[in-house]
Amino acid sequence: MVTWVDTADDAVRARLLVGDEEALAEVFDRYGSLVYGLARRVVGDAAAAEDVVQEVFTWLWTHPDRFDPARGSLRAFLGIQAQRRAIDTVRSSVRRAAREGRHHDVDVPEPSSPGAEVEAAAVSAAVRDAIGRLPVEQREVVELAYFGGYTQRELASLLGIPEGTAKSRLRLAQSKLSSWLAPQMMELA
Amino acid sequence: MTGDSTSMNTLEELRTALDMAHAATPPPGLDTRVMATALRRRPAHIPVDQAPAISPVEAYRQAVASLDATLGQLHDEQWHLPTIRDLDVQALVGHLIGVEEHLHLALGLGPDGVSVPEDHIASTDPVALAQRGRPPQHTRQEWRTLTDRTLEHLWGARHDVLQVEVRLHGIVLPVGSMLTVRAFELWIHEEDIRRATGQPLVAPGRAALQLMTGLALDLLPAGVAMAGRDVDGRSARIVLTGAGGGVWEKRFGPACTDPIAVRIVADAVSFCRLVANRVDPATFPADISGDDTLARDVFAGAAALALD
Repeated sequence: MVTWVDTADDAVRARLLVGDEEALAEVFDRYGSLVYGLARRVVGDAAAAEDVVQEVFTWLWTHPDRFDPARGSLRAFLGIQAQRRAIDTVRSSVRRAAREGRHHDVDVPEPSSPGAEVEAAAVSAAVRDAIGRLPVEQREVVELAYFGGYTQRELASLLGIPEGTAKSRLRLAQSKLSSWLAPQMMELA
Repeated sequence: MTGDSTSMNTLEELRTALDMAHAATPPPGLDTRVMATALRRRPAHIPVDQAPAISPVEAYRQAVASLDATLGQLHDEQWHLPTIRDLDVQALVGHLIGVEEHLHLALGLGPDGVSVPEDHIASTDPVALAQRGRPPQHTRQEWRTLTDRTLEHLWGARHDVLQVEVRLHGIVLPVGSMLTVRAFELWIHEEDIRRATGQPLVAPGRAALQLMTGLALDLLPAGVAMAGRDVDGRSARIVLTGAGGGVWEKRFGPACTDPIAVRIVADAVSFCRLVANRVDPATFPADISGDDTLARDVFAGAAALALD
């Protein structure tokens, strides 16, 4: 197979831009379980998670130009979109429940297959353990950047710190995580 | 996210690790519902950045202006640099003078009783060779006078006038499509001249490219037949990306009911250069999924549409 674009993500983006619906179907096949799983983890409710999935892929189809392969992978882009929309859904639900005087519950779904359960747990535990070992000011920027999908500017604003401070804390944190996690990820791979 | 590639890679690895841990099988039918919702919001096969359509006359005007601008920048000695087919720049413009004269005959603008030659190249050799020894600016001006006459005749022409079929060099097309072919040829020869004179290549505007790729895909079955490829009953999905791009499903043969046998994804401008036979079909860069032989037949058919 000969390609004229730099990466597979560049190729998918180019196809989405010209209206190739098969490219959207392929993206769903590849990342649908990721987006659904992330959404389900955050919103807890299967129907609400499906709505998040529909929003994410419809938005990708109608705005493929908003995905920039130079800034990160399509997988990461969809993951961030899923998290943001799922968080928005939860916030709306919590506000609605508060108005109605109800308590909002969130449950975590099972991994996709028994065979993946052990590996999933090990990966998850390794990453969470490493993040937990960071100094508090570095841990909070990583958690906001990864789990919240916030940009440096946004998390600096949230934390009330200069953007340059946020950037340097994130860089320090990521340097530590890289050195801690790399050998463990190679063992798990 | 941070602008630093090492930091981005680490964050990427973190995401990969946690994302893999949290994937969950979507419920049955969600894929179908997602596709239906998405396609209701944006129909398939229409580029997000589709340019507003322009008339073929406008595409032709743009191509004339672009080539004329390139010619206007040349020093006298550059007019004698070799281009294609043993023609220097000046002789290539002479070829275009000949083609424009024949277009006038086809449009009824030429002298009575003179028929339009059937051959695109040999019929223009005399006028191409006649440019030797002329000041280059005289060649340029003669060509501009002819193209100005074409534009004067067709500018503001009604839609039905552009639908009248004309025959030029053995090709029968509506006037509008013939002008798209003219615009295409002017662009390709401008690129021949820019290559010869060491200048970067410049593609036409998005709207003009849309006309060109649309016409090329319409003519593709004829090109495949001219190339002698037996594809009767076969089907191909052709996705052209970038400016001028789109999605086409071509069914070869009048009674074709076969499912799509190959999907070809390629850059639209590169595909146009293939149609102009400026790219070797054997090494044309494309993603091919499915019947590789049918893809090669398509490329050969595209190249067979070339005028030279």
